Amino acid sequence: MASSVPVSVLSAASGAPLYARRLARPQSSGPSLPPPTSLDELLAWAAKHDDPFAGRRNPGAAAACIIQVDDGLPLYLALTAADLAAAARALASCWRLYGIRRGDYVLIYDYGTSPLTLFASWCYVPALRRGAADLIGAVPVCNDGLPELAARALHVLRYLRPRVMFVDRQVMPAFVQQVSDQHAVLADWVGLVVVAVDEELLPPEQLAAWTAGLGVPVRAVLRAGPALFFAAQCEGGAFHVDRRFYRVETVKEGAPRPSGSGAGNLCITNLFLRGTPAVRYQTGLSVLLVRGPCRCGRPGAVLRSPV
Amino acid sequence: MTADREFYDDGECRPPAELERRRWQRISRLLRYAHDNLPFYRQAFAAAGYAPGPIRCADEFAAKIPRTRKADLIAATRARGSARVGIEAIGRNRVSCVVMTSGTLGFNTFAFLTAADLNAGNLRNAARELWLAKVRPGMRVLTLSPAWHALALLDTRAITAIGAQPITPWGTFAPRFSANFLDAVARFRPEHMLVTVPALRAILEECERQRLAPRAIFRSVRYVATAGEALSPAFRRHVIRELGLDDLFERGGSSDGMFGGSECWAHRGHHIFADLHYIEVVDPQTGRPLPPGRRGSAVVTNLTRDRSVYVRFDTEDVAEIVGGDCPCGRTHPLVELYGRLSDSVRLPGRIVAPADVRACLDELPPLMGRSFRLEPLERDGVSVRLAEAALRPFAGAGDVTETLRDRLTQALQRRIGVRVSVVGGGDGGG
Repeated sequence: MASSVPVSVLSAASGAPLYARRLARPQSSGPSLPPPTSLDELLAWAAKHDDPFAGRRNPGAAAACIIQVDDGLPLYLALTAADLAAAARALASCWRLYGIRRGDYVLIYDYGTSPLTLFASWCYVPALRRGAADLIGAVPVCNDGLPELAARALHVLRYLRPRVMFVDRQVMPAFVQQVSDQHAVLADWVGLVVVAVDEELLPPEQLAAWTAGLGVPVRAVLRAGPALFFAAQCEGGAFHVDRRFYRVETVKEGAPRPSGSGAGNLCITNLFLRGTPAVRYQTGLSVLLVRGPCRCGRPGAVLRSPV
Repeated sequence: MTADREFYDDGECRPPAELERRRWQRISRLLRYAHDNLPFYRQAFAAAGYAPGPIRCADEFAAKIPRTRKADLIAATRARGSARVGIEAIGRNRVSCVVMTSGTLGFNTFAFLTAADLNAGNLRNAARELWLAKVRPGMRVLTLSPAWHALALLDTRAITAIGAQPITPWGTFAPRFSANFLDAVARFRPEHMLVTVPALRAILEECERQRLAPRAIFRSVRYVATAGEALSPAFRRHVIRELGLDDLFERGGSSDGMFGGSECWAHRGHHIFADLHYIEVVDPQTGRPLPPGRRGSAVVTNLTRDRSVYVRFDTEDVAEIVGGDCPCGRTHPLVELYGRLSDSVRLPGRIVAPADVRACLDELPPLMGRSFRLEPLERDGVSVRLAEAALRPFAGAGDVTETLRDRLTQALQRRIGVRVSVVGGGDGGG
């Protein structure tokens, strides 16, 4: 299993207290991956050791900046300059799947501190030379993530006409309401709305309802903050995992170890984080992990709803 | 770069005469560029009868170049149906990002930024500003830097340019995120914090709600720099005392017009860097430049390009140029800012601004930070309408109510020098 994880990941992880004690070192086959760690375990470690990085900080990697992983979670990521660059490439991979091209405007209706925003542009985070927009040649505009700013999001759409708009799941109801209140014809202003969900798969009916209500296609981007994970949803409804950046497995209850396919809780190993390695972060999200080409024709692993 | 030096760079203490000479050279070049390349200004210049030529002094500049107001940019945005209104001096550069200006007049206009500016003029301004506010190499600096905001997005870059480390809790400058801010302060023990004044108030309230002693939580924090509104002397003292700070700095400027500056340790006003921006304070009615010490509307001209450029942009913020040399040694103008002109009351020969009321309100502990609205009163007076929430200390204590009201009225009359009426009710707003 460890063979698909770069040695540098394991090396970085071995410097972090949480993983150091969990990394088994069989003499013949080299290091193997530690068992999965859930959010609750991370929080427990953070509380017990008064450690904002929950034992995942690699002391050998100099941090360019420190960010909180999600709203209200007392967990943080220390990111090196290389971490930042790779996170931007991972985000750009998602942007490309949504069809974002050179010269497009992209509206991000989320907080400036959200990874969805931070890694969009070199302007938004220090020590990042090229964000997702810069890698593609697109131009981002951020609206902040408060529900009361839904009218401003619509204002940006009206005057900037972005190809894609990202919307945090939490503010989607306010945005939909605003579109309705203003009788806005969204299709004139934006080509695709992408809803950012955090360790959640939206029911297809919900996406279909939003698509019908807004008059433009609505898809999702799946995030998992503690692993700095992004997966873009294709036209066929599957979430594509870029294997250059993430190794995904599923964890079945009672199974001795994670599996490389099938149903279970999504388990993520981030392949680029060195400042705060995330190895086998076990989400609470139940998925079906499928290897092989997706119905949309794109290669690689995809995540679907297990139902 | 050593932490004990006074200036971020040598440009901060150039002789005033040299700054002045360079200013008119830059402005003359900028006007030529704007005329030739920026449709919004070409049209405005034509309407004012101005043909590009050298500008030699402030009076000539004010007489020849028309002011642009936010309403003009809004009208242009609406007319074009586009965020680009013809002020984008970006040449052949790629646009790095688009930001929004403030929502004054209920409308956000847009500004286009390029790397050529963000890595040069804009970054130099932000780094100097944070250096003024005592951000130093090696410090941990807690900040949010909302990415939609023209000035704030530069903060993390400036922190890094100085050699300090930014720490970014989740959220934005809204009260509900103050718990995240407190958590980050407790865990990372920053030496410096960049916040807005409303966020700072919310953080103090969150301490109270969680029954935390601010001095204990903020024991690592030596400095705070605030933005968003003027600090009253009483609130400044209160924050320094409650948090146990070495110093508290007020930052000021406008995302409309994209300029900003901070106080230095002398706290005499905001240093606006004359090699990057030219600030005039003008009579709101006549548009004539006012001398130091007179309140008017702040008008900004950006001296660098590669971004949306504002030429004689009337911010409609009440300001005055502070006269005299600053003991810090910087040679750049000092400007004090008092709040929005639309929130102020214009009386013959004077402008009563929200900051005047705030200064008096905050001297009375039960009223510190309370909302209010400033309105004109007949016969050249002003009315201060306190929000319902501000009336809480009055409730059920009639004599206390009257005592506070009297003390506030007297304090306002002393400060403002005109007839003042303090009334309750309404939604406040100041």
